[in-house]
Amino acid sequence: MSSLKYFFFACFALARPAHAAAGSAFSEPSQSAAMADAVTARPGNAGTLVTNPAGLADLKEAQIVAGAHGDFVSQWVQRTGDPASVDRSRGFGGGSFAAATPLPGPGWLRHFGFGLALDVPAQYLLHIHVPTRTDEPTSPIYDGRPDKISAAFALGYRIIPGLELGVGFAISPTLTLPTLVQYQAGRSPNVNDNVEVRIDSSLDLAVVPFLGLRVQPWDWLGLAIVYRDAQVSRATGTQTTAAGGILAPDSISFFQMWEPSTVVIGASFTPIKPLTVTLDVTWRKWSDFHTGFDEVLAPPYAFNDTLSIASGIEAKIAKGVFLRGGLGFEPTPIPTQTGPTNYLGANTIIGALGAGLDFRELKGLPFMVDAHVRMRADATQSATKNVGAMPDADPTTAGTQIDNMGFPGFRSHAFMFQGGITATFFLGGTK
Amino acid sequence: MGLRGTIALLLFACSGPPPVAPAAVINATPSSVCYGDAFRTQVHLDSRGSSPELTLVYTRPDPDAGEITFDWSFSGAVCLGLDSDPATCNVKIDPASSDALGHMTGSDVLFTMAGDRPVNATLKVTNAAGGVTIAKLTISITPLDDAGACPL
Repeated sequence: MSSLKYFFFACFALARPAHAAAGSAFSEPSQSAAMADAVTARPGNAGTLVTNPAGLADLKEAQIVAGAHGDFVSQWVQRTGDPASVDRSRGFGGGSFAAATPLPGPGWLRHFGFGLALDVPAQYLLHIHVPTRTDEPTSPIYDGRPDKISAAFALGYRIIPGLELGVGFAISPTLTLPTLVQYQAGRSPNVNDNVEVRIDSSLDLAVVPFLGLRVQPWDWLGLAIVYRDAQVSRATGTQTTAAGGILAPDSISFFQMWEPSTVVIGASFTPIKPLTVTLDVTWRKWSDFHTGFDEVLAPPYAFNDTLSIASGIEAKIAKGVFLRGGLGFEPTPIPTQTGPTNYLGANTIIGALGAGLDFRELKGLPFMVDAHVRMRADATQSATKNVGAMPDADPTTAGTQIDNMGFPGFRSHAFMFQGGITATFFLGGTK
Repeated sequence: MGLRGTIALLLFACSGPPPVAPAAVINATPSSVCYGDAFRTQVHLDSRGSSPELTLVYTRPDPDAGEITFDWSFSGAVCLGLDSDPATCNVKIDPASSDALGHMTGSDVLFTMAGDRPVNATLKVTNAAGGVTIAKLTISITPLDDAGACPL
């Protein structure tokens, strides 16, 4: 069995109309994605409650956001000297839903805005690949992060005009033990598909906080700072493998980092009314990354914390018509892969374009439609293995046996393309 | 999906349980060669232990289970003695282990390695019922010792 893939399907009785920004990777609404996600300091809405929950205090009326996105990652990896590369390309997508409203009631209560959001991947509610070897080539950026359901709740509060504070919780499914693994011979022609995983109890939910502050000292300037805690699924304990009448307990340690801890500092400039320019600087604590077997990566193979930069622009070119664009740069957290691991990834440039139609201004109808395209272009990664850093695959044999899947070195490259659309419905209400 | 596709899907869905998967096993002798072996050491892969039906507990083979077929493949630049071989080889398959088209469908395979990288061998076993199992094994390489000698 070359690898064992565990697919966890949580049968939640949830419709899949769309998705919105609850925190799953690449699931942002079109308004944000089109500006390379550099929207932290902009006035908020239902779709940006994870981006900056403080923005919920800007709500003037209740709104519902529904969106969908389709994605394709073209990725290959080629061992040095091999005549052909291994294609790891894949497509995925998802839907989002978000709703937010200012709280009704007396004046002091209307300083609060409340929102909730849900991201639902198109294929799986949770898809986890459990590697069978630590040297299996994996991409921490593209492999697992989009493949989970996520929900978020947030509350924004306008302390004084121009000063807003927000706090929220993102909820993601995580793993629980004990887990029962069964082999159902004959269920599928492929032996890998005969493995059935049953989680004894319901899927645990990991709750991680996020909070944000937004300041608007002048109409032309907005500033923000946001902190989001890490989203991690972890399983440690004993699983039971059942084969016929045999029950075999087996220890398991599993780690999946969906998102590292993040701090974002953002600014939004509006030099003239129809034009907004934004800038976000994001620090991500990738150094907390562990292997898939929940092992700490020791220096020099530990991941590096990263500092990314992104900028966006939005222009209102006509009544109810908006154009948007964004550029960003994300340095890779992955150190040079000279050691036993084979993590795939390199510095990445992000480019995005989008447009929006506000039918409130165009037709007097209470909704907006926004669309975007976004691409992520990774530089080509190149690694040459250090022979002395290779682990011994067979300590019982003389010498050091090297069976590393990336030896003597490898190159990899990835390019991602995304298209998405978001509809925002305005429900009126508290003014 | 048109009407024809829908009917085909329904027929497929009603065609009964899928076939039992076979067992695929790879044994390697030796399991490692020294760095820079330069195609001197012959590696023997055999499929001993493979069977038409995968069982985690040994059971006597079903005489009516039929034959199983083998399909071997290797990572890297594989040379089979054909015109289509790459200019530089990482793996050289013994001519007796492949047919004129380069297919390796026997129960055993003999090959040699350049010794510059580990080689991943893949065995796909198919039983008479159409069940498929894939097994993988890596033939490692062993760096020379400080004196420049092969420690194996």
